[in-house]
Amino acid sequence: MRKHLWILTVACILALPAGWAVADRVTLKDGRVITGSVSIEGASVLVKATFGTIRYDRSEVASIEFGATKEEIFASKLASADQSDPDALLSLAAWAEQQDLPREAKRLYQQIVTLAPNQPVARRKLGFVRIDEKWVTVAEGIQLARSKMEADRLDALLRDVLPALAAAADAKSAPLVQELLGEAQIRARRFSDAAETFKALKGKGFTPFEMRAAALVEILADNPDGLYVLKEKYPPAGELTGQRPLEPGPHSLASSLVLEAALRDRAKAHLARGQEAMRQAAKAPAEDAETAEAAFRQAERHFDRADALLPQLARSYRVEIARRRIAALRRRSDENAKRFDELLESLGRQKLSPAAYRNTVVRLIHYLDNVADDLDAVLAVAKPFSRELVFEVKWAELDRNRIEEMRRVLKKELDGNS
Amino acid sequence: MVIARKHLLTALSLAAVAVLVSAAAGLPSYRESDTLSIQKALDALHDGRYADAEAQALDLTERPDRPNRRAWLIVARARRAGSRHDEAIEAYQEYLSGCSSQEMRDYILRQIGECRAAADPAPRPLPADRRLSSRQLRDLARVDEQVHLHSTEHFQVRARNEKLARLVADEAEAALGRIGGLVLAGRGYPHIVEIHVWKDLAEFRAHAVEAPEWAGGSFSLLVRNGVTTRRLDLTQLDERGVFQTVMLDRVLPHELSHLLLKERFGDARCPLFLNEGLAMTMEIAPSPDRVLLAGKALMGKGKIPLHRMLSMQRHDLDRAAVFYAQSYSLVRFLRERMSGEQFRSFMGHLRDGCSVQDALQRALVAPHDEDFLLRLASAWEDHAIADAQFLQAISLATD
Repeated sequence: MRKHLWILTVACILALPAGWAVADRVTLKDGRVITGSVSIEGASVLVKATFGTIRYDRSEVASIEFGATKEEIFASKLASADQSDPDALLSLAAWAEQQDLPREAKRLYQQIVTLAPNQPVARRKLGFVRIDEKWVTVAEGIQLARSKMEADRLDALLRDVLPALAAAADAKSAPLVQELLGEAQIRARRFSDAAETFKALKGKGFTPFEMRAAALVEILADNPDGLYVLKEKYPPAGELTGQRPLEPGPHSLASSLVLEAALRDRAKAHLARGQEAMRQAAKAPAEDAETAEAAFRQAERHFDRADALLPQLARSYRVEIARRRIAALRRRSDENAKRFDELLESLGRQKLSPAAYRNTVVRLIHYLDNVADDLDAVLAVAKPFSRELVFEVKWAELDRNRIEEMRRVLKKELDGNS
Repeated sequence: MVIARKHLLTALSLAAVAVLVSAAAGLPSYRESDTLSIQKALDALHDGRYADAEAQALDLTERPDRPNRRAWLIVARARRAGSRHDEAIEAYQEYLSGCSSQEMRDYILRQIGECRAAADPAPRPLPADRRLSSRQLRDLARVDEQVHLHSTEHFQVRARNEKLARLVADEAEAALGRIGGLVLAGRGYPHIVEIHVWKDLAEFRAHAVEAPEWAGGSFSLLVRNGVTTRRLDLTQLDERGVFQTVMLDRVLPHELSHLLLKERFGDARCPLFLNEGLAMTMEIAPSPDRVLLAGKALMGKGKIPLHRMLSMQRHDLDRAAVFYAQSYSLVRFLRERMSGEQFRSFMGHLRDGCSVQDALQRALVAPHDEDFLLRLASAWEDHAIADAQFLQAISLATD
């Protein structure tokens, strides 16, 4: 009977216009009929209607008539649609989106672009953007925009490419596109436009994007005519590595190298503050790990800012911090290792009851676990710099294996005595 | 009719206003026009059209309504490029007079200093055999029975020749100024160095402190009973009994450089290539032999690769001559391409325990580059080989 009723309902639904979903019907024992989305919770029946959710005791309910779900309606619509007609599929995809069925809509848009590769709505819904008569993803479009910028195709970039990318970009890629827009404006010597673009991007200056944008706003405010004075040759290592650097003196910010130099000048100030914090950390006594750690964290914040403006500028300082943290962890693990050795030595010197012996083995395992924790911390600190800290990593790994082996022996001893 | 004429006048006035407004809208604002002119002048400067750059920038500085001060920077640079240093100084001073930034002031003063140095370069110190007459050289070869002591601000020289004691003290002060400026980070040198000039190699070997068998000079920095003694030992005569000018030109600045590096590094290890390379570059006389040997080694199979050179210590020296020549070449390469401040910073980072790669990148405030040493090796080797080939060509031409 229920099955027949369902078939009847589905049959009715097929005749329904798009945008109309069939609701569940609850018939109460007093004869009232409530429509809405029904769910059952223990002894209650919940009906989510347009005016709110009502709860009924099961004893009040005479019958429940479930309507078709939107997925079922979609399936039936799809079954009846002409699969070779992009327009029909497009209207069904729009209906699916309206019904909050994004996966179904996406599958349809994908189907549409295989039928009609240039269908603009489907392409855009799938995140494509049309650049140079080709559909590309936003990520590909950003790369293409970078290439156009390097090739100095600034007119096309500013007129066509970046507006199209901005329209297609999602929340994640939008700042990238904005940054590109600002850079292209600088290259095109539209410095005041660029300043506005970066002002909109700088936010609160928390993320690397925002930090960079904030620095660019300052640079453009200090040099509104786009003249920037290089105080030293740039790139700084150019002459040592066979690269011809820019000479000190006035240059146009429209050159990417000059812009990079301007950002580096700002980054240098952050680097200097980070170095100062490291000096403070070095002054802290060896046993005062907390003071040193606080100074390290402060230094890292300055280095984050420096690296946001010029990537990898502070790397060697970060490695140094990692080294000093490892030294502090090593000191702590050595203390635990010493305690372990002393306890182990005492084990052979005194007669112990089985319970006391067991207790000593447990303490030995405890010290080993402390050492192991410190070694794990060493490995975690060294991991981002495994190339520079290769010895520290190897050393910690070897010790970690030894600890594991000793722990296994002690555990066996403990199990044998229980 | 009157009304119609009135309407016509109003319409014409409105049209005129509209034309003016639209014309104004089409023109860039005052600042925008400044930007365009500045950018044009920068383009000319960048393209090497210095006369154009100067003229365009001067136009901006001379505008009666709103002169552009920043354009003086372009004027100055264009003039410098044409070696018109005095005029460049004038342009820098024009900018400087209205400069409110400490950083820019420092930069401008540095540029003015460079212009002055370029306009009137300081003479290079001449080697002793070129600045001393044969009579003076004969006098300096005299050996008295008594020891003469001559003191200056930083040196106490003991020699058995009064003139020589004076000369060595003066040379030592000059060398200290030159080397200390680079090694001691501009700090003063509040110490006294004893200098002992021994008659010949036999006396030197008998009396000098920490003297290697093969050398004619040595340095020492000893702490005994809480007292630090700084000392240089030198040799007056060669095996033929002739005064050794090389002692003044090479040995004295070389050993003094070692001493100052020892002071700077303290207990930290100064890489051998730097210690020896810097000492050699501080010598007054040029070293074509070292340039040729370094170039020859780097061209052939006998080269010591850079990464190995950087970590070599005295006991690793299987090819000492090549190592010394390459060290001389490398340190010269670095010195010529780094400012004094950058080089001092490089030494400071080495002293603090950095690798050579990190110390260089930190001193230059350059982003981390994993291939930095490879690139450095390649650029240095190319330069050293070209240098040696140039010297070779000159010597062939003069032969």
